[in-house]
Amino acid sequence: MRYFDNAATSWPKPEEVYEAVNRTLRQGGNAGRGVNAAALGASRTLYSARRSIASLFGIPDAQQVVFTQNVTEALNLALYGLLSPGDHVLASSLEHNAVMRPLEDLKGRGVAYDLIPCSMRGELDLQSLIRNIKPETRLICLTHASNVLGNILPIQEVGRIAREHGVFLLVDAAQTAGLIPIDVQRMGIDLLAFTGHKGLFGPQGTGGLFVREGIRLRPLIHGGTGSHSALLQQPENMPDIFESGTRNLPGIAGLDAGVRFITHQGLERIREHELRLMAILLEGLLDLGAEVLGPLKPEERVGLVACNFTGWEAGEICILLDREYQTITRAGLHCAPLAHRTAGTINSGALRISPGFFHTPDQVEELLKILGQIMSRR
Amino acid sequence: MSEVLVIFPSIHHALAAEELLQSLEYEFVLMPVPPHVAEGCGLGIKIREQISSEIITILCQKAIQVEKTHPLAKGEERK
Repeated sequence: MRYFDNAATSWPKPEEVYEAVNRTLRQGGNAGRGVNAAALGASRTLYSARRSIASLFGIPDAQQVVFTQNVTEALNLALYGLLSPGDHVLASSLEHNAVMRPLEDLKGRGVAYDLIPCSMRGELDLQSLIRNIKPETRLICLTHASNVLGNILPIQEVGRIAREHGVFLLVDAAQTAGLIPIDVQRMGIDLLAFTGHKGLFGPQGTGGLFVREGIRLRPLIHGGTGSHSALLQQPENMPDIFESGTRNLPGIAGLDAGVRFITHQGLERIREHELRLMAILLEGLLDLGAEVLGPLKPEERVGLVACNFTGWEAGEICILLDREYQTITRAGLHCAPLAHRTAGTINSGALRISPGFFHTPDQVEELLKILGQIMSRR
Repeated sequence: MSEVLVIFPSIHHALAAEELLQSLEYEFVLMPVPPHVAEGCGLGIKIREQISSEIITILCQKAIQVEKTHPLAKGEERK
């Protein structure tokens, strides 16, 4: 199988990730539930993963990292936990449905939002962002990189604007965590939602939210935390307040192994490799006549390219690649209709190709050859 | 010998304290917080009373939150 759908979930994982999941699943024990050796071992697994994540994102205190089952849950926790009727939110016209659907639901509960327009290539209109900040604006919610256009948004600049206006900044790092350096302090990020199963190389069912110290969120879920067990009310301390019920321990152990792999490889090296693959992919696609969404310079993008070919439906190519060449890509709207509207592809969708860290340049060339063969059929 | 149980708001802090005290080669024992104390995350660190203020100071310096300290009566940990 040729796998070019790393923007949906990374594959393969580093060997250490498989081993960590296997080992943890065989060990037993439930974090925070007792002080027997197995339970303590499980608690140490969570502790270690929290520390690894904190270190990767420049988070000074690891207790501010909350584990969720994915980035969608993390975004929901941030949005529903922070916002109240009368609040106003600014988001971009590139947001994923993981943000848009909660915002639409919250609109019915008295939370207003406005979308800041982006150009067809994905550039955010910063002046429009500033103009639209109102006295009741509580939050700017922004994707770090579009899962359709692939462009990287200027988080640090938005962080500065948010600070100047006394507004919180929530960043959706689904497509950037583990691929692009993120430093919550330097970038002025108050809430960082990340998924474990993409750039961080963890298994599906892992993710989390960084909550800057001092920000009070209402928990989405209440229940047993293993702590303060005599209390009938939810404990207020981090991270327990947001971690009711058993965590996905084997998954989180795998995530920890993935993050350690990244740290060992070095983010710079990972990014360099990604840029090299993207340069080959972009040039090859343009040579084949593809209409590429998003910026054309590799350094302005993450490792995915969505595109269309004249005379072809994206879905047709995707199916041909899969059935005849055992090559995995993704076609459609990628759960981000707003981004497709921005790019002018709301009716067609696009074919998305996303190489990963374990690809070689030759494998990307091979994919381009296959696409060339398909194109020559018409 | 008088002993004190240091109680933490979350397991995260208890494990951070364990890591720190191990690295500084302090003598301590990780143990469950007796249910009748009804405080903290359920996991505490038992230390000698003599060095308790020294240890609390070190934990505070490293921003490891301590919920409270509980003097252990003889045999209390087995209640």
